[in-house]
Amino acid sequence: MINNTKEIPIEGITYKELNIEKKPLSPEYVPPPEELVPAANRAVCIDPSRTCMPFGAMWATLGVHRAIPFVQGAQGCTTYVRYTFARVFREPTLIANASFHEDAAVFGGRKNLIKGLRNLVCRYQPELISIVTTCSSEVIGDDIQSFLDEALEVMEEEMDPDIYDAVKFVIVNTPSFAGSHVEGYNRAAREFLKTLAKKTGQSEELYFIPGMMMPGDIRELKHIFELMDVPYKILFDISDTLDCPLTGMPQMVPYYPPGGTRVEDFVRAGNAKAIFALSPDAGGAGAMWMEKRFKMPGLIMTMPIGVRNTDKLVKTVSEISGRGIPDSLRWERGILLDAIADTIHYTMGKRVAICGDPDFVAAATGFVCELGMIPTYILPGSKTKTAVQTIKDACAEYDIEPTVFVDSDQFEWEYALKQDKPDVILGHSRCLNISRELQVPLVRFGFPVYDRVGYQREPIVGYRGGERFLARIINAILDQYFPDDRTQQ
Amino acid sequence: MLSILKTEVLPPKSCGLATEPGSMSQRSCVYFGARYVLGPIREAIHLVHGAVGCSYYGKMVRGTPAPVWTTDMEEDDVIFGGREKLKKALIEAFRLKPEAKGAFVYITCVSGLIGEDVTTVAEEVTQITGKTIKVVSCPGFSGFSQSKGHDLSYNLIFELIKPVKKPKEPVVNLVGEYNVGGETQVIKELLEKLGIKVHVSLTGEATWSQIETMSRAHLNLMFCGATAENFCRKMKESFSIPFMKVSFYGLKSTAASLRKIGDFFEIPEYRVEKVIEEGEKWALSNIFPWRKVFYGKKALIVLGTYRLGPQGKMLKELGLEVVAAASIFGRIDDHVEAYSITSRVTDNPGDYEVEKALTLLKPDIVLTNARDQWRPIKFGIPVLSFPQPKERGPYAGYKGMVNFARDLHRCLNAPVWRLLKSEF
Repeated sequence: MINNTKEIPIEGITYKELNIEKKPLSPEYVPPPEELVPAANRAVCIDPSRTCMPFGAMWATLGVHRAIPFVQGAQGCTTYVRYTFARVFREPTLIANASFHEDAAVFGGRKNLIKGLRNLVCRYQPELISIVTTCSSEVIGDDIQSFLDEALEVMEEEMDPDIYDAVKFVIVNTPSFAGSHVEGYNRAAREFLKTLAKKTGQSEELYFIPGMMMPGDIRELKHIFELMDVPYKILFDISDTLDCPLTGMPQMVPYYPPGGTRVEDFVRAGNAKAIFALSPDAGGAGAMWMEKRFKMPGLIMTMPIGVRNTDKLVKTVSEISGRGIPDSLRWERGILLDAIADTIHYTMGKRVAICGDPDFVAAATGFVCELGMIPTYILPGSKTKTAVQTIKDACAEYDIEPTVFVDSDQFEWEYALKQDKPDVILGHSRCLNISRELQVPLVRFGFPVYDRVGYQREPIVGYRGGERFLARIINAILDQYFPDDRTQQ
Repeated sequence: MLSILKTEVLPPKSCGLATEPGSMSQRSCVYFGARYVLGPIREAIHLVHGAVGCSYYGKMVRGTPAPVWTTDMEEDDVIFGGREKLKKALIEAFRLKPEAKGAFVYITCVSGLIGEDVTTVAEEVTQITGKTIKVVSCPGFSGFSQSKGHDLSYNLIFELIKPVKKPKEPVVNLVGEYNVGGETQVIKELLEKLGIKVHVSLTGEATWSQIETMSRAHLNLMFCGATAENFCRKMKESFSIPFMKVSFYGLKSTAASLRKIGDFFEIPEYRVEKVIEEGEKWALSNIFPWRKVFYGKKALIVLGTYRLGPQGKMLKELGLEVVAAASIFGRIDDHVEAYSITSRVTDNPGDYEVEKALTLLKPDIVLTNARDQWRPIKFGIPVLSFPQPKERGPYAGYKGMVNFARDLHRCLNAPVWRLLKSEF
């Protein structure tokens, strides 16, 4: 296309002239009635940026070695989630279902749970089963604990008493009509530790609950802790369960991914020196509970995206573990600072709108501020305890006051964007429509990113991740505003 | 170690049975089925009365986003009932989207269990706004699989149809055609060559007003029997529009279907034969260079239900052998059709059965749905997933046959499978 242009103007070819096919989705835009724009005034929710609780609990379970979530609900609760995992991670997931049919809705899910757990144990021989409730089982009022006891008795009779040692069961109550997937993860983190963790001694290990980070992010965390030579354990480690190598026909059927946090690690969590929650809203409850129960320091940190947030994590880990900060880590920090310094002309003063899960959004706001960008409209998808304050604190330093939409939906956020166009949008794949409509580049991050390949492997946390994230932002800006690199030389 | 139960390779199961809990079935819920059929209908408001997740997931219909709104029921609504919220939401929805002709309100597990009286609310709102509101009673637990949702949706669509005059030129409806990867367009083009117009494609390309005037067609072409057969029968009874089961998957089926349609409209034979000959010549010349790759390769099919037969026939036409076929929510007719392709047919396999089949039958390629496509890949077996995304194009008609062959060729011939086998 560039070759067809006769003369290249000195300022480069503008995006429009490149004639890339990217039409706004609704050219005949009719503004909605003003009073119906704020989500608080509406009963109808349009394009929520969150899904329901069971999803988070299933996510957490998939980070455990040989663990299967058992969803006490209708079949769709599993199928849709499996579909989402398949789209985001491109990996198979084992998620079982109680297959609620009409009889279960009338007589309760007792029979389904007992039969289901038995079938699951016989066929799949898991090490752990998490029983994830849904809206239907919660409305019916299934007494999961007593059903589970009964199921164990049935299995003991049929197989052998080993069942009590062979398989662990964790109940996570996640009624879909409350909270969001983030809260679901949070609850799972607490319930797993509550059910499994024991104190038998004292170890030097630091425990981390990563939250809904991608496999690449978790690997980056491991890299940082290895550089620091800190003994650590990452709970709900999806890095080797939802991103696995292809090695040909597996030796054993059913196929289980090789990785995941071991059940023993959960059991030994009581001995830990400290427990960190790296996403306050997804995992914070787990750390708090451990602090209360085992009197260990439970630290709730902002997700380590950007320089300040990573600094804080590294410093805290260094203080608690007593290990120094190695030069190699300082080197990585230097590389990130260098990358930022190299690109200030692209980032300074650029206005950016952010959308996503609260933990991601709060941390990313700090990062874009560090790049000299101005966050304008921020949508943390679900209810949050800390994210709004974190955003305010991060922006106060730079004297910026972004609009934060609390407990809102994408409709309201998008309306604000239409009135006041940003230069860049940071968000998940579901922000694509608004990005097309406004002809503004979308930098994908957080959950879910399903329309790009490899994003789950590329970290955005830590210093190296920050550098990758920065490159992603700059490249999006370059693609959109400076598509012709000949004028850049 | 605990003992494993002995399982056959894809043990034959009758179709239409309830799912065994904990069997890792790929089946989905009734709401899923309803969204599958109703989702892409335009000029309508789609409102989910339930928890936020149902609408979040329900936005993705057949791989493309379709707008859906929700009442986002929360704890209070579950305890005190969400009637008022629903009413307010519906009125607001019509204010926000005044061009909508009507609305579909989906009842999900929560609203179904608390016994929300959605019908009365719908009537009240109809009185206020004057728009038709259809209540889709599809709580996820109310059936064994998504197929009940399909039935239910077609019943609602049927209620929308009004009697209208018929035009002179031949017009058909495509029923049970879901426009996967742009298949509706291909079928339309083929019929266009015979001088036949397509009024609406249910629900590949359908608007509320097109559905209302559906009875102007002379003939209903039934594609997916599993979802659309009852609907077609009812159309025949009420509007005396005959229906015809057709399929545009594979060269033989396409030719047979074109001839059948030609017969019905009394189109001169030479015109039909010309279209078939041109199409086949073009398709075969394109497929020919790939033939060697296909010959004798073994395929395993795990798909919804309707596609078992047609896709199996396409594979056979290309020279592949189907080692086993499994439906997810099977139907007798489809199983009978599938038995003409392979002797191993079953319904509703769990992940375990699929994995067993992969290790014992060792197929060269697996045809399965998108959410389970990565499992065979982990076993080192290429997968052709359905519904295919837009960029892979339609699989129907002559164009589709070439696309299908091209994608099969890509899957089978990708160098990655050779790299996987070569050792250091």
